[in-house]
Amino acid sequence: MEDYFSDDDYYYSDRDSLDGLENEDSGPQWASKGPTSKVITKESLLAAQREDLRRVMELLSIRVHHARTLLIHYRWDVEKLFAVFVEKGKASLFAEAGVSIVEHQDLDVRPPQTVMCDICIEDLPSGETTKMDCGHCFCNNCWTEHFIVKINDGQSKRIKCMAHKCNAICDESVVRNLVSKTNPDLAEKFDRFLLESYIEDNKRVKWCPSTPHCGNAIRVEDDQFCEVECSCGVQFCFGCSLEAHSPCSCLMWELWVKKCRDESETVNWITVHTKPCPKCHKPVEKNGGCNLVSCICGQAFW
Amino acid sequence: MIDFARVQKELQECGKDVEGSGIRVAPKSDATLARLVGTIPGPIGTPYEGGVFQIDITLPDGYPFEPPKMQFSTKVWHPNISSQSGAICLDILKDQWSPALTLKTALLSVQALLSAPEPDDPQDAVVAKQYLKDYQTFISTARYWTETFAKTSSRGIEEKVQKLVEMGFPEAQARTTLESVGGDENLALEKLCSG
Repeated sequence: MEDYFSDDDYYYSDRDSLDGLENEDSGPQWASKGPTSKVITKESLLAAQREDLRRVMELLSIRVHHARTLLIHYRWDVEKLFAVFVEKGKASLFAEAGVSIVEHQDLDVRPPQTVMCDICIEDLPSGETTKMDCGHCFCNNCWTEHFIVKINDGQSKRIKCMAHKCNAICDESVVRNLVSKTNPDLAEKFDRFLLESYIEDNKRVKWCPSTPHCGNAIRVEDDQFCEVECSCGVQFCFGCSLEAHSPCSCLMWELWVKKCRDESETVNWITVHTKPCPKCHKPVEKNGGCNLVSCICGQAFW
Repeated sequence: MIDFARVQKELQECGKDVEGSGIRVAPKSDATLARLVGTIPGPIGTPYEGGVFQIDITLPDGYPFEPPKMQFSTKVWHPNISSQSGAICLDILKDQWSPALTLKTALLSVQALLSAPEPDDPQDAVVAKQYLKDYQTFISTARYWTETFAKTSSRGIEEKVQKLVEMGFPEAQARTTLESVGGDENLALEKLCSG
């Protein structure tokens, strides 16, 4: 979990510098506008994503859904992923991200005629069941229900296996196939979430904040945060997605904007009832339970 | 839609091993299986020993793909359980839920939580503070609450009869059934439900 903090916390380091991670010294460094950023249009999004997927698939000789799971876990940072691979090896790289590739093939035994699904506790012909990469086998109806609940819950990007404590992420093609049989609309939504993950989870790519949305995203080429310009003409700060505000810091700017809108009831409500997630900075409302909340991005915090 | 076939099977499974686990699950009323009552014995060697704790269970529409909602209806003094509402802070009842878990395994986890409080992740801040700062007082308070609220024998038979009558059973039948099972209202309820 710690690696999330070390990368993304630059802008909150003023406030959250308690943990003393390596980001301490890397305050915002303003770079001049220039060729360090690139506009990604709707059309080029898929291509950009495929390129990253291809690099990972080739290096590790794995299938696309495993590559995607790894990249989502490492926030589409191919270099970081490769660094972890070199440093810790394949096994731990996969385990951390929830990728399980089971080598054993049941060559000697023919699959049994019927399988008992541990979820609905019914005996079913083995043709109506699906075994995930992690080796857990459940019936197609139960898998489908599980996928529908998770997609509706906004967790498309990390749908875990149904077995207790199994950390494996489900094969996206299985999800797509099963869900599209009963809910084609939802399957489309699932695909869109996966595609947009390239932007949502990528620390080097951000949606252009224009309203109405121009459909573009911006990719920056190095780790420096800067002010960028979209092809639609909007200029914004890559650190906080607000309008360009250098040399004022993002934190100060955010406070200023908040202050200016102070009369707004919505802002008051958000300030009182939510806390920004330390990872994705979205406001999170605690809707019950204990003080340990988990953000939709997967980050847990107090 | 709740998978009632599975709930039925779970209740049967759980009923088979009441002697071993001490854990019971029974429907609150005949009308629906969506609202249940679970009972767990307080773990031995803890201040909850000797108590019998009731947990209200509500199954969401998506059960078993969504976690069951569980809440203590017996008052209990524990850092991860609200002393006011009985709300439970337990990961498997939230994001760590898996459809492969059952009501029984979830109740076993709740029972394990009674043995192993996690004061650093509190539900009830007052209790957690006491646990960390004054462990002895915590133990005696928890024991006192167990004695006061979780000992079934401390509740009169009349009260139990009344409870069963409220659920819709005839008074005479409720009384004889209660007597036949030695005053255990859950056993009586099971017996009444099974006809």
